[in-house]
Amino acid sequence: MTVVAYRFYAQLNQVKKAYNLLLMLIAIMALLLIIYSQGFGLSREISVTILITMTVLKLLETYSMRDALLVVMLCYFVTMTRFLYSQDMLLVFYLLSSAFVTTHALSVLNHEKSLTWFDQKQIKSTASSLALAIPFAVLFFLVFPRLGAPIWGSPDIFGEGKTGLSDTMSPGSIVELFMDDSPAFRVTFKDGVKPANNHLYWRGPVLWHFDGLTWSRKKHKYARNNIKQYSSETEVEYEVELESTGQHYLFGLDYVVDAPEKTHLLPDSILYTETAVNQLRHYQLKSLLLNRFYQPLSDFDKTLLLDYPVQQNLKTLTMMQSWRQAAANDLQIVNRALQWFNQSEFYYSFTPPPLSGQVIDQFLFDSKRGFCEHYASSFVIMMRMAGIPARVVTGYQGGVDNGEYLLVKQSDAHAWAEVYITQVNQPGYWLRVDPTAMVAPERVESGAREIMDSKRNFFDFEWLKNSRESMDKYRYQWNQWVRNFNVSKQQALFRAIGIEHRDGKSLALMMLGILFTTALISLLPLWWLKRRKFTALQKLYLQLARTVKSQPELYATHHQGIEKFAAQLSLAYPQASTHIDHFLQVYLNARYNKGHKNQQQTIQHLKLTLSKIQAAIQK
Amino acid sequence: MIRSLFKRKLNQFLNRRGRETLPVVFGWRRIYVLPSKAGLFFALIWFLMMLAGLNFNNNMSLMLVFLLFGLAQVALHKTFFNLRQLRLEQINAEPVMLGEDITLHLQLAADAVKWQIRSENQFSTDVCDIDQQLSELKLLMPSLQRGMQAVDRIKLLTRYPLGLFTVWVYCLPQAAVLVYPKPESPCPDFPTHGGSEGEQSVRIKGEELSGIRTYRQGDPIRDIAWKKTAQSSNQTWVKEFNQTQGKHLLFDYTQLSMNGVEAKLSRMTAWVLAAEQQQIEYQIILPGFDSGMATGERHKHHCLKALALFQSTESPTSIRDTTGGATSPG
Repeated sequence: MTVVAYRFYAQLNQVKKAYNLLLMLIAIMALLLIIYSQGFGLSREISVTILITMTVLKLLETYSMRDALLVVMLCYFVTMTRFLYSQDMLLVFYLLSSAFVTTHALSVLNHEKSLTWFDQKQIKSTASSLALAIPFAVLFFLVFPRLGAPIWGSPDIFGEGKTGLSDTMSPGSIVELFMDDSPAFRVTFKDGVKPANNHLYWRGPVLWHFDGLTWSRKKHKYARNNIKQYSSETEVEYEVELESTGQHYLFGLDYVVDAPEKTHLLPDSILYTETAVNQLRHYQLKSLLLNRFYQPLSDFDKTLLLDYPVQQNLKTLTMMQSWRQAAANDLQIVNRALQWFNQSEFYYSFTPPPLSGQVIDQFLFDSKRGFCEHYASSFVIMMRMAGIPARVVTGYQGGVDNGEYLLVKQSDAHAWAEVYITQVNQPGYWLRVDPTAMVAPERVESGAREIMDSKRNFFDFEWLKNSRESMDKYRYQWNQWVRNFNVSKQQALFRAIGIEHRDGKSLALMMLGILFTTALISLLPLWWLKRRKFTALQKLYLQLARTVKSQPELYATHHQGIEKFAAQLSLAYPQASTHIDHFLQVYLNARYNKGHKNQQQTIQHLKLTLSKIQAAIQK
Repeated sequence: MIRSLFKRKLNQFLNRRGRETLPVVFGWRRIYVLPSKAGLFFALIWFLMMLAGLNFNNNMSLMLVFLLFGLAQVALHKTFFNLRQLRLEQINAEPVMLGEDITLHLQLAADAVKWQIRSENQFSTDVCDIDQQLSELKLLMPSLQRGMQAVDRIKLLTRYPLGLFTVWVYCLPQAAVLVYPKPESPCPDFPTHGGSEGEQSVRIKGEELSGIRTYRQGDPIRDIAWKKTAQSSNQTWVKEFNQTQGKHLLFDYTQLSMNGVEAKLSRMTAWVLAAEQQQIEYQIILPGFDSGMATGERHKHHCLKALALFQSTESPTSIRDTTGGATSPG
């Protein structure tokens, strides 16, 4: 900003260019500052920052035309860096407007005598250039050969980072997401069969460890087995389009049968990928809509799942110990806890009073107001205190039916609990328990936002939310066609127009063809606009000339003006000379006599004369 | 050698149309197109952008990249159409003295609006927009020889709108500029051999002493300032007299005793200019030419033209002389 301001000042006051050494020093200082603030290494942030800083600093020494052109062209590159962060649909406007501004700057630079920045003709010219370039861009976008895999680096470096649900949960982390209406993922169910809302538990990170404040994951060494046998009644197939999260988790309905490609299914049924999800990602899943999941539990895991911070939350501990003694089995304790949540004065609130110290005790016995994370967290600790292995599951719950797909937003983030029920002589199983549903059943039925009585923020209007959701339909299409266009989609397109093979030769031919066609596309309108325009009179004259086109020498004289041509013509065809003379007189009178009226009549008359001449010549 | 051969062949190719009579309309067949330096830099940046976009399969970036490619193509066409159907109507130039730069005034016209048409050679460049009526571009050309000097090959170019491409035409017009002989400097005294009364040896001079200067060959002995000459060590001084108006001068080529045609012409040119400046009537006589006794702008050009074309072998058709016919004061 300072640099730009300085440059303006310098231009106005004709300040001379600073010494090269000084400029060099400034550049080095800026570079060091960037490295100091961002760390060293090839990352997206550092590359982009350096590019932008250097472009701006270049302004300091931009005094010649050459430098100015350089800066403007670098601006194109700077424009592009925005897309490394996001490829949202609305950025098309950004793309077009900044392309327009930059191109116009280039055009103004190339107009030496232009006095204003906003010459209307020039703006029109730039706009028409861009408009003509668009069909070209679209065609090229579709057919330009794409790379299946990156040549260097991984998309991680330049992926679109974004925060979604993280793999830890501390107080307030889900409430933060609750404020965010941006899409988390979209789901297309096979055959369009959408399960009921209370089945839609989208499983994310499962949290094992609790340090008194924050929940965190367990690091797994093995993968979970696939589910081999199942009844097809509960089976559901769907495809997920996951927005970039910057995390390693994929979301799926409980419980996922099989891991998709390049993904591991961890023992706690989470889908984990090696590379972070930094771009839009598609995967297909098959799930069984169960709320219990049979799985053996090792002793080591059991001890982990029974762990809770000692010497804390003693009030809860006493309560749970008494429950334990009263209960016959684990299920009774679970049910009693749920009942307790249901019948005590608990409230669902997204603005709970802040907790500190012994958070479970405080929440259960004092504040009694909380969000899903509070309920899930306290419930799991309660269970552990009662000797039942339990863990917190985070993810999303529900979703908005948006026509052909289900939209799950960040605000649908949710946390629930899983308890492990051991049975005598039978395999133990995981049981999903959602304590929030006990407090606010509508949360599970219709989504978190619906049950809130107050607005989340000033701009939280119903129509705004609705328009956002309908906007997401376009965004979905955008993702399908633009953001996620890749080699395979391109191949499908080629196949659709009858090109099966994608070898080098046919590609090269195709590129040439496309180049040619697009050149024509942009050439024709220009040619059309720039063609010579003849008046009706001139057209008649040309018609007259064309009657003797078979004689090149005579025909060529028509360039010298009608008088000379008429004379030559009369000489060649004496039999038509009277008509020719008449044509000449009427033509000259109509063309050059300013007071002349009755254009239409004259043209009719001339046409008649012309046909007479033609008849005479052909004799 | 290959280089000079190549250069010759290239020149032959570029001048293949020979000298053309004006007006010349530049159709598409004679337009040359190449990317400019800025265009090459643009290509480099574009290529980097494309690599980045392809590598990370970033479709929005690729969209921008292809939009820019389309833009470049449209710019190419626009630049081309900007020059197409340009007319070089005529070339005007004022005669110059040998050694001075010739300023060509290129009169351009077109049916449609043309932006930023530029004339360019190694000596000068000029730019103008053409909007329905005649527009003028200036172009400098060095004068090389006395007489009618043919106009060099003219290059008209445009880079508008984006400067990514240079589109240009060459034209070798059927036109020549009159170059007068170089006037001798400093201007020598008027000759003693001429005068209205035909006095052969009487020096035309004023009555009043105007100053003293060093001796030049041909000064009459009676004008020598003996006193001053005796005082100085090795200089001979001559008294100079004011010339009063109303006198007549005769500059006769055959009476000049110097060696070389050019030196004689050069001296006569200087005299003509000096006489014209002092508003004295004068007459020049060349073998086969007699200007008659007169003064004024028109007479001056008449004389100078005769001097310029004296014994010059070629006499191509002259281009329109902007001052021809007009008698402007001074």
